[in-house]
Amino acid sequence: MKRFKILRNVLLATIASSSLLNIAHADDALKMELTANQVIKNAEGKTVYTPVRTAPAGTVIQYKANYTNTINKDINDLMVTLPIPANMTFTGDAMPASAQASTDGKNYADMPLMRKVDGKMVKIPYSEYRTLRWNIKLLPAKKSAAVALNTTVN
Amino acid sequence: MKSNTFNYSLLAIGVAAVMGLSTGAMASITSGPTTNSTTSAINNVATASYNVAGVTQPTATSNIVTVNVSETANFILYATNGNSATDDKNENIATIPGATATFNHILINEGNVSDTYNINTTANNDANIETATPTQGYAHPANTDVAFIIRQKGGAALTADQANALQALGQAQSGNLTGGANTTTRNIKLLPGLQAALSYTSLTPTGRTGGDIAVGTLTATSSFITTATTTGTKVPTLVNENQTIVRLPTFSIVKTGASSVDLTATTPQIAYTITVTNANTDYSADATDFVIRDVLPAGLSLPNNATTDVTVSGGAGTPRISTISGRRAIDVPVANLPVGESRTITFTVNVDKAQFTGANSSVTNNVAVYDKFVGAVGTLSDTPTVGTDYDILDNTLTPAPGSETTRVPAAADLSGGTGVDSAATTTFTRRSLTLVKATTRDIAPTTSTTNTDGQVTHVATITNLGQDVEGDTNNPLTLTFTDGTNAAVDPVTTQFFLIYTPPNPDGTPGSTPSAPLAVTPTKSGNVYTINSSVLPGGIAPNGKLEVRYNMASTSAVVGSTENTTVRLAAAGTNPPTIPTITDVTNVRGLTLVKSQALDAACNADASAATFVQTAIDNAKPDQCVIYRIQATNTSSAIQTADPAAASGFNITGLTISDLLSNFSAGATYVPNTAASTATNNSSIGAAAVSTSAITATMSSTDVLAPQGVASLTFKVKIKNAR
Repeated sequence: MKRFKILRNVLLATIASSSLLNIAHADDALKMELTANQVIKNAEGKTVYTPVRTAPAGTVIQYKANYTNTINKDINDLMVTLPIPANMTFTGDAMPASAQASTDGKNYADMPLMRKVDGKMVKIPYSEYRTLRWNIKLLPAKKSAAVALNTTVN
Repeated sequence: MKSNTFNYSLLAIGVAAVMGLSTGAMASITSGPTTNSTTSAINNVATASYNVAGVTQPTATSNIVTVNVSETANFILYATNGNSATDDKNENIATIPGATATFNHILINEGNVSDTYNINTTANNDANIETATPTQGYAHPANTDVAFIIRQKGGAALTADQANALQALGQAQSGNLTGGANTTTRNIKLLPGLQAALSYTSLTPTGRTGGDIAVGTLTATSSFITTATTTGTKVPTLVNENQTIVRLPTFSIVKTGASSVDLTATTPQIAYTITVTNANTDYSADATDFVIRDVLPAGLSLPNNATTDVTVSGGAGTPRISTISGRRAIDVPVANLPVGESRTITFTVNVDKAQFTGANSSVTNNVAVYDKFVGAVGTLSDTPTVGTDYDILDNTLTPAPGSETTRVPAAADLSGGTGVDSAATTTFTRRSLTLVKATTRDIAPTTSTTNTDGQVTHVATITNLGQDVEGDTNNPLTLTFTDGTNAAVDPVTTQFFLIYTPPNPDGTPGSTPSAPLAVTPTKSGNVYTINSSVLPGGIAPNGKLEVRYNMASTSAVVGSTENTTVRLAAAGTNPPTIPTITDVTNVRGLTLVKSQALDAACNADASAATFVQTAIDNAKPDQCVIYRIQATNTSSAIQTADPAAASGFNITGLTISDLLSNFSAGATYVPNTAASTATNNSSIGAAAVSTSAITATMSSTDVLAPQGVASLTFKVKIKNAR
């Protein structure tokens, strides 16, 4: 019976990924393109990213923001903010790992986030992470870069 | 058998899957996937702030990406006890009265969404789940507390994230689900891939008996599946059934001993064997730490009053000897008696004869088994208390007393049941018969054949000196009369009589005989047989039975004898041997002797003469010869001292006669010499002489008494010149 269930899930995933389509959104100096990919480890143990539009709960989704400096000047003090949607839980994987996190979208701190409970500093569960932010000092003219985070569908 | 069942299940599942069917059995273990057709969309957008040449630019916003989440619920509910840990039933869970049975289940969230499950227990017997064929004595509790412990599927401890996620859901990792049916307090939330070990208990009522079966169910209802929108088949609720059976040993107690014991033995004994078997039943259980108790009936004792008098076989067991109300008691503790096995106890007791003196007295020796549901039956008191000293009491008493509490179905302890018990009953016999005594009778050579005239009667007496009735169905007697070789003297078949003298009401020998009972013996050759079946009721202890029979004669030789052997044979249980007696019938009657004496001078008196039966030589003419004719009654002298001894009879109508022609050729009668005499109270008429004979004749009043002699004498003179 378990075998049948797996088969069915794979089928669902295939249908979902086949209809993937993301349209880029342009901005004046900085163009940002956000994609959502399902993170799957293939048979060889390699992680592959498959575009996703429909996913079952538990699926690990990677949100990846590509940003491009479209002008001929450097961009400074770039702060890319990528929310973790409701009904999703941050897995702790952020690329690059220099991201700061926030549980309220206002106050950011380096990961892992900590708080004091009963006089002891404890880690805040990833499920409470709501936003990640990357501070990039310099994005040279006509250059692109990307940030990404992984989440799990609740 | 277990592997076969498992393979069969796999086969069934395989077939069902290929055919695209869902089966009832499957439905009880797994819900199968249910995917909500209304997916929820998760949108995301990235933003960025930046400076160009030191000037802050408007915030850049990315495109929106949307992930539509497909939510699939799927869960499994296993009953982990019983034959299989992955089926839908906890079957044949053994329990005992007063104990709690625990049912374990595993609830697994196989879906991809966290789900909330409402856990209930019911007293239902689920129609789709076959556990046993319940004669459902009671039900497991509905809405009882269910303990839970949440782990990863497979049982591993939760990861920190899982623990945190559970906490975020407000779900404790362990605890109790309580409250009424379907209430939210009975909810448990599981993340995908987690399982909850569920368990609850059912108290077996103390009044339950072996074989009682109870069922109930545990149900888990997925809230996600309940509310899911789907066109497929939804299985929101899974059911597991829990079935217990009260397992208790069924004791079969069989006691055997001698069916009868002869109390005429010097030291009568009874050898007993007690066999206690833990019978194999549908609800059987090993019996542990129970006690077999035999309280000997009054009148029975152990030869040495020691444990060495008792032998236990089939396993360990050290007997204890005690005294209860003056009776010897044997207790044998048994530590373990597996199902189907037996423990055997043997011992021999002495019988106090003085305590079993009644007719048909008997003794029944019973045995009891005391057992507890839990723990050992300790050293039993004289009067053990149910609930304290024991829970199970099975004994061999018939009918079963109210105190008996076998705790198995009543039929098991009745005839034909696996636990039927039987006591040992021994009947006592003390049989003693005498047959006295041989009688001697005188009989005339010929007796009447049409009536009893002249017949003689032998009398023998049978006395019952034992304590049991003799001559009844149980203790039949046979009298045989074996007649001797004298063909002229025989028993008269129409003249056999039995005269019974019953004992007095107080049991002492009686003195009032009943009327003679005529019986006709069965004659075979010279053997005459009387069976005691002719005796209604037989001969009571201290009763007497007089046996009379007549002998008749036909032209028997005087002086001959007939011996008739009387034999009394006893049958039945422990019959005594009775010496035979031999009755003697002597043929007696008249003897006639003629003798003579020479009277040379012809002047002698007959009374002084010397008579001889031999020839007289040298007698001369003119000498005289005196003749004497003696008729003797040879029968025995009348006596009264011993009825068994013979008393003779009188002879009447006797005429002694001598013809003159016997001697007239050579001698002549001397006139006036004829005379008659008689002795022994006998008499005969005077001698008379006719022309042809000399006679002496009895009158109607004359008798020749036993041993009496009637004589006729006369004198003749020898002729001269013959």
